[in-house]
Amino acid sequence: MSTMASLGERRFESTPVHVSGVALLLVAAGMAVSAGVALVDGGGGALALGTSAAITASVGSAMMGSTTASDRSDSPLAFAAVAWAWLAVSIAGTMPYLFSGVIGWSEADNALFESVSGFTCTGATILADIDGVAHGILFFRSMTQWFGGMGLIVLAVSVLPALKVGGLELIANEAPGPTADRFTPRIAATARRLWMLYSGFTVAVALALLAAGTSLFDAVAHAFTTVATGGFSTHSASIAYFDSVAVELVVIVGMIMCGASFSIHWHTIMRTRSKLRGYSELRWYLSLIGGAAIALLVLNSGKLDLGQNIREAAFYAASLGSNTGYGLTDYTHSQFWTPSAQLVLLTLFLVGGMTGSTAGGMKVLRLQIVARYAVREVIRARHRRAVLPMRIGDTTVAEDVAARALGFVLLYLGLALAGGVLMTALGNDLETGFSGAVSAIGTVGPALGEAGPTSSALAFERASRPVMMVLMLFGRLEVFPTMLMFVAAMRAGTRSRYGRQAAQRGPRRLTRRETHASTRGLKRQRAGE
Amino acid sequence: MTPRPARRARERERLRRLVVRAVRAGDGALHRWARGPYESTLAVVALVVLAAAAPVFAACAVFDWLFGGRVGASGESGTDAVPLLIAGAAIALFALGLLRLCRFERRITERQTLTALVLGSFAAVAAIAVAHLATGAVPPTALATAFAEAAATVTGTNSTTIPAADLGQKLDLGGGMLALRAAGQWLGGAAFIVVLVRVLPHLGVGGLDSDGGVATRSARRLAPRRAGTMGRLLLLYAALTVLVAVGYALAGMPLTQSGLHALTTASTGGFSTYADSLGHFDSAAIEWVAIFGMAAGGVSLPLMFLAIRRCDPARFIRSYEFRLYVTLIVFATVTVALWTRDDFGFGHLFGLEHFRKSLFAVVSVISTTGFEAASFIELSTGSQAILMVLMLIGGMSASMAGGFKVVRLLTLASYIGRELRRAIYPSLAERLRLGRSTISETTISRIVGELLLAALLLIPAAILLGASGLDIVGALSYAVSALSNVGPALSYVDPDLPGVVPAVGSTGHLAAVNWIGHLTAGLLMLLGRMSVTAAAVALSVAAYPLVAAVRHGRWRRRTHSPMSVR
Repeated sequence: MSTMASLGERRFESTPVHVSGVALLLVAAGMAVSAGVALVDGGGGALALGTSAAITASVGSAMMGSTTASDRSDSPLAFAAVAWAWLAVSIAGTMPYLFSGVIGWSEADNALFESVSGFTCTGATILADIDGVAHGILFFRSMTQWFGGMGLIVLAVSVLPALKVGGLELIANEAPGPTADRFTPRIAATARRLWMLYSGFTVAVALALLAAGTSLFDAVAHAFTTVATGGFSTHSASIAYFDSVAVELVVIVGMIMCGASFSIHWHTIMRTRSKLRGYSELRWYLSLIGGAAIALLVLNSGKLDLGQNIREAAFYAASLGSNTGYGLTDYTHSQFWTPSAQLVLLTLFLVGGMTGSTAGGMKVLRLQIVARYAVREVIRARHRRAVLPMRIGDTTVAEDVAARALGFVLLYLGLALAGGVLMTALGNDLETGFSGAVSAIGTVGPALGEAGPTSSALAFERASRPVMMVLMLFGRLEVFPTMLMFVAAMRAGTRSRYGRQAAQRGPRRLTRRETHASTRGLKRQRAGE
Repeated sequence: MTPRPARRARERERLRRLVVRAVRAGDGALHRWARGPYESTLAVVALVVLAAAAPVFAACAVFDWLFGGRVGASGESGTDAVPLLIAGAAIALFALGLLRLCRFERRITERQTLTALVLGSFAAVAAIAVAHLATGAVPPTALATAFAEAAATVTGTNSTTIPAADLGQKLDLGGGMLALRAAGQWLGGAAFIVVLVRVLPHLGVGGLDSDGGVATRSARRLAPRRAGTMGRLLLLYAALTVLVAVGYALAGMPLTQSGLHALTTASTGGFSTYADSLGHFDSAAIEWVAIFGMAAGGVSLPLMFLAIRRCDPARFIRSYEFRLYVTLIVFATVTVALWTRDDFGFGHLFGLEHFRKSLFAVVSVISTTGFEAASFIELSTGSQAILMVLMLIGGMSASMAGGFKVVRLLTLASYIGRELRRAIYPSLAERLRLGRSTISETTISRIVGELLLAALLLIPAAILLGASGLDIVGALSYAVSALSNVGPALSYVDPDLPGVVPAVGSTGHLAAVNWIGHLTAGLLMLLGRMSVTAAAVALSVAAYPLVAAVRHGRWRRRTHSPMSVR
């Protein structure tokens, strides 16, 4: 209310629309930069990118300007804001592809697929001949992943704290993982540091790639998608194009780093905490990747020669363990890779990286919780009355956090299964359909069967690709926001009578006076007793 | 002429006393015999199960002499009789001899019950594996194959490596072995009822606790004593088997065949005497009988008992679990029928035959029987995906079916729903309900734990199966299928492989599997049947000495070194 009065104009109070507008503005900035790249490069696409930037910016500023963010910040509102913002951004992201003619207008769904796959950091691409596409568009394509990796709203909060779109809820729902770890008391400062770290990593990876002998454009584009654990490449052959061990090493290290928690990186760099809470998860994460690499080595030992085997095992364990999805050689060819090695990869699809990283999947911490929970149930079946707190590393996980994580895992598995059934029903074979669903919800990119790392997403039937888009959004936003976006919008977004009533009923931050009053009331009550 | 009520009650009482006396006599004899120096209930249970195999073997030998020529592949009677008798006698001698050295413990703890369950099932598997080896059903060196066959028999899984001369021919087995395998599946089912009443309630889930929300307590006990409950359920089981046998016979199946198939239908086991399963008979009537039998096998026995006993069919409709079970069947049948178009040789899309074949496949899978009227591979891929999901779900709780059970699915769905609501209202306190009954938090966590354990188990199992010669789809679907005790997998069989008869149902892929795969599959079947939690508890009891050594012994990780304490 106060904001409205001070601005002296009529604005609707709608956090989802406001936040979507901000996100669109950021994407417009990205488009403008890409247009600049296109101009410098001279390969075309500048006009398309410029037009898209102009349209996105005007729509974004209109949405932002006509609304205000609500003062309240509760989870339904955050769900709605995050989910609608991602939807808006994904739609805006189709424009460069369509305007430049990279994807024809008759295949607008493909453009949406490419855009969703980009922003959700999936890396499944619809482009059959990537090398022939203008550099500006490819730059934008990589940039979508870079935006999506750390999250647009986190970026918005960090660069524009005055926008007041903040709130830990919002960030917690966008940043991957069950908990949002704050490094600083102020959310905006936390967000800024996250993005600083993220940009720092990007620069580091780009420099390392440059040193390993790639071109500047390739270095930057691949740095974007490595750090975002996205997996878009500027070449159809993906990393195999470079055929250089040095490049592979840089990419492997980059993927493993960014599949790990950024708060661990922060604390390590700042030396703020000697004993990190995330260490146990880090141990699991690294041993998962290491174990997968060893398993791949053993399982493929009969089919590949040793050098190639080590190279591929390390690369794919890192690429799929962090759910990046870069490809080297095609592991779906059965003359090279055994079926069980491919099943190891499928396991990696499911698990993904650490919480607080840019990776997808259901996260290592949740796997830990699942494992602990299962073991605890076995112990409880033996000792009925045992009270067993759930320990992960040095911390005890609260029961409601564990319950939410389990609910998430169950929902995630159920969605993957349902998605797999739908995908096969829509014409894919069993292997491609199910692995495609798992890959989409884990935001990996490549799948098994016909949709290996070197083939494009065109291997999936056209009718089944919308299913994948939905799964990608589910996966990137960690299921709950996407699932509850409509409910939440109904409850919190409108100013109808119902909405107002619901808003009054719903949880609301108390003013200082109200807090004071209620405490006083409590005290009085206690005194009365 | 029906006897008068008083007389009927008197007769029933007499019968009951007879049974009680027989059981007591057997119990007393066992106690008198097992008075050795080693006090171990576990050993006694395992050895008793072994010894009990001998009369079954003998009965199958007798069956072989009488009817073996009618069902066996060679057409001769008595081919398996002598090996079976010798194997039975050897096992009995071995078991009774060792039993003489053992003695019951005074007290049996809960966890020992679970370990006894595991050991008992392994003993049964061992006995049947010996029979397979002795009669030459599997080559004498193929120990893992024998183990897998025996596990499939005991757990009621239709997965077999036994070849046939050609599609549509009888399996390459003698009459005695066919009878033993069918009887093994049936007795495995009967033993499961005992487990249901005796063991699973200790786990707090999967026993008789739930009848799908009809009532809060009634289904837990059908009689004042557990033995009474057990007896009633076994009676129902036997009656169902007889009913199905009569149905098969009336539908035109030869008499001995209908007996054998009834045993594997009511127990939702799924072994057939033919390579192409029930599809061999190519008869609508037989398929309808099988559909009824399988579907009934997937229904909760206590629910069925109460509905019949109290003449209250509405009880079925009141049960949430039953409703979902039927809904799943109907939905899946319609989907499978629509998705599998008529170019698969199922007759016209909207014809009755098409519908029947779809229904058959769905019921066969959800009741975890595994019969095939037409190979699952002939269905469309989407339908195969549906079948795979149904395999995971399985039948109702406290039924003969395996799988995860419908009621647990219901519970999980409401659990997920609560978590979603909690995401919006963080301080929500809500109890989950199923009809009139409240589901306790302990039950929920058991169910979730069981699912998670099964999921954590499936992945390495699939990797092992993949390493043993199956393709990806085959490995995953066979792992699911074995864990749920269904049997057939969704794998395309390479017809050039040695030992593969072209398109022998959906179990033809097993010819490609090596010993690692057979071992994995056998273990999966047993784990699925016993429930993973039970097996894990048993394992943790067995491994306790080791755990204690690690925890208290010198391998313990020292957190405080003595030097730091000053």
